[in-house]
Parts: sequence; structure tokens; C-alpha cells
Amino acid sequence: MLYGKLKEYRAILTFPSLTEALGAERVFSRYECPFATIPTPIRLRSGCNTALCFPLERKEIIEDLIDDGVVLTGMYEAREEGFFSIVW
Amino acid sequence: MIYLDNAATTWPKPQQVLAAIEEALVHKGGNAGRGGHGAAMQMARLIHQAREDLCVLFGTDNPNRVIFTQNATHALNQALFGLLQQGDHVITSSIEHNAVARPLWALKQRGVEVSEVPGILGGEFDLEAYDKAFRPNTKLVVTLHASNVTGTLLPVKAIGQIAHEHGAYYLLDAAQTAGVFPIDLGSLAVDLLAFPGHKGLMGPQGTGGLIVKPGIRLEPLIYGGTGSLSEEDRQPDFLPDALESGTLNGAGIAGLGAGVRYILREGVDKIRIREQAHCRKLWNGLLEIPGVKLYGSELVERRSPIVAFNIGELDSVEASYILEEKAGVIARAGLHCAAHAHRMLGTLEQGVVRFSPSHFTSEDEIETALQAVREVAEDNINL
Repeated sequence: MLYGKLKEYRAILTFPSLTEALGAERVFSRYECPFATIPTPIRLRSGCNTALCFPLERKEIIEDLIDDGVVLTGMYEAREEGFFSIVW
Repeated sequence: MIYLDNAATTWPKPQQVLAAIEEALVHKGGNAGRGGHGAAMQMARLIHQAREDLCVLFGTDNPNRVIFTQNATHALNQALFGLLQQGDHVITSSIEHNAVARPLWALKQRGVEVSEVPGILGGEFDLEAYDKAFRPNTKLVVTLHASNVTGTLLPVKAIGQIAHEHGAYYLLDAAQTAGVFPIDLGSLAVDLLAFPGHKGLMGPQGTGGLIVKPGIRLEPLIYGGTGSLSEEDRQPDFLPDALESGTLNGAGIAGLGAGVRYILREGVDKIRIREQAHCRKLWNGLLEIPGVKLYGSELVERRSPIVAFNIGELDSVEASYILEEKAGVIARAGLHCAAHAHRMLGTLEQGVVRFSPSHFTSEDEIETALQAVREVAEDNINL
């Protein structure tokens, strides 16, 4: 079940640690991309209990995150039927 | 009160530091990493901001490798016990603070070999002897950046380069220099940097940190909850979580971050030049007082902002007590947790009186301190 801003945004990133999530927040802010922190869905469990969701149409920002050195454990499109890896 | 003990802890702190601590305690008091709720995230962001500010100050770019500790001693212990094992060899200087000397003594009992590079007054670190001290099993070199007794700077650039030439890591104790001298991890051959938060960085007591360059893995000093990988018994192996078990001093770190931003705004050089001007005035003034003996380099540019002296044969602790009693001048006396340095200075019995001004110290306060020493000297020395 989708919750919070994820219902609207539909893209979600998971991280190995909170500091990576916080680093990602800064990249989102720098590129003026809306985002929200949400608890990591149990099916996507990673090192960090905090995940970031953002509008799916801005998925190219993943490139910027990686360029910035942010470490991700996963990037997914959230649909009612489940989470699917994003290809960008 | 005229506070001249900033080498022990800086005081007063910039107003911004107080405001940041209050903001954290009053408005952002959640526990970083413990849950993803708003209160926890607010505090997590404050802590992350402090990591980023420290990266800017120390010329590095990975906030994940900034580990927060209780103080520099804690950071040094983490580095030393996290890296050294039985059979390893470590090289150190002969003017170390007990924050290094005592962990090394303890490690020696566990089978770590320790070499101390000899020094003499005016030549506190013999680079030639140092170069010869390396062994095939030398894993680490650890030195302070500046003596906490005399302020004397060690040649850290050369020490680091030589360590790397021999394939050893270099751990730098920046207790007296962080926030006072430029420390650029991009250009210095330093692998591990230990720093206090409450001295030159202007943060509150109970804060400090260790910066770990990439490629170095340290065993944790303590194990426990990190807010990550909670389902596993094993400690996370990624930084900073691996070395930051337990709740951090969030409000303190928020204050530390504000202190670092204050320094970045004011400028390390500007702060140091003002402090060195105070030290020059103190040195020159003390030099004119009959019976006063000064220690360390007369060039204030080659020292952290410390002026160490004695008044005749008067016990340093007694001298310090009189200075406070008569004129409200606060100095640190005794051995400064650095018996090794005092052994070299020949002051193990008497200790020394240490004045350490900050950039907040006024010229009037320096004058008053000099006058107080003058009077104590006149009253206590039979010339």
C-alpha cells in the first residue's frame, strides 16, 4: 500500500545510511526538485529507515545524485501493485 | 574575570553557537536516525549540516567520513584502538598529550610496539631520527599538531609525507590548531584527523570528531544502536554509522556546526592573527619582567596561541592561584596532562603557567594580565 507523498510522487529512493539520504536531500534542493522523506517501505528494506520520494517525471535527477557521490541501494517506481526498478 | 585558558576550552563562545544550541533543544530535539519522523529528521539535518561545514573547513568532501565523538581524546582513542593490533609498530613524538601517550601505553601492554622520536628544546621533532625509526611493521605515525604546553608547531607536512613514503598512516591530533591554523586534508598527508569541538572550533564541551580518509577501516571503539540495519546483530560497516553507536550529542553538534560556520565567516587567518598579536604582546611584556622565564619559540607565528612561563622558582600552580586571587586572571598551571612535554622542558617539578588568549580577549585584558604577573614577580622573587 502506498502512503504519504509517495501516492502523489511515485518515485522512491532507498539508501544504505541516513547520511546518504541527507546528502540526497541537498541534491534535490539544489536542483529545486520537490521531495519528501518517508519511512522506507518494509518491502524495500535497506540500511536506512528513511527513504526519499519525488515526482517520477523528474527521474533524471538520479544521474545528478550519482554524480554527486550519493550512494543508493535502490530506485523504484511505486505502483499500487508494487515497486519496480526505475530505468532512466 | 580575565579568561586566558582558551587552550583548555574556548570561552566565551560566539552568540551564534548559543543560539544554535537553543534552537536545537527548543525546536529540533528529536533523536537523529531513530525513526524517520519529522523531529528525528530535523535533528539529523542539523548534524549533517555540521558534517558538511567541517568538510569545508578541513578541505575534504565526504561528510560520511566525519565521525562525531565526545572530544579529541575520544577521537584519538577511536583511531588508535581501531587501527593498531598486536605486532604493529607506531611512531610518536616526545611532546604528546596524555590523550595519545596513555592510549599508546595501554596498547604497548597489548603487544603494540611504540617508538618515541626524541626532541630537544627548539627542535621538538628530530626528522632525521624519525625517518630512521620506521620498521617493516610500522603501521601508524601519530603526533600532535601543536604542543598544548608551549604551542610549538610540529612539521606536520614533512611528518606526513615521510610516513606515506614508508607506507604508514598519519594520525594528526589537531587539539590546539583546529580552527586556528588552516588544515587542508586535500594537501596534507594526513589520513586521520582528530579534533575537539570545544576549543578553536568554538563549539560546546562534549563535542569533537575524527575524519577518516577513504581506504582506512577502523574497528569500532563501542558497538550498539545506530538507527541502521537494526535487524542485524553485526555492526554496520559503513561510515559514519560504524563508529557512531548510541545517541549523538545533537544539540552540542548543532552548536559545533554554528561555531565552524562562524570561523568560516570570520576567517581562520583573521582569528589567528588577532590571537598571535595578543601572544606577541604577552611574550614581549613577560620578557621584560625580571625573573620570568618563557618557554617555546619566541616567534608567535610558529606557535598556537599559547604563552608558557614561570615566575622564578615559584610553583606554577601557586603562581596561577595568586594571579586569579589578586587580579582575576585565569591561567592553566601544572603539567597540562602532558608529562612527556614537561620532561623535555625540564619542568616536571615546577610545571608552567600557560596563558592562552582568544580573539575575544581584549588588549586591556592582556595589559591587566601582564601587570598582575609583574606584581606577583615583585612580591615573590628575591632578585
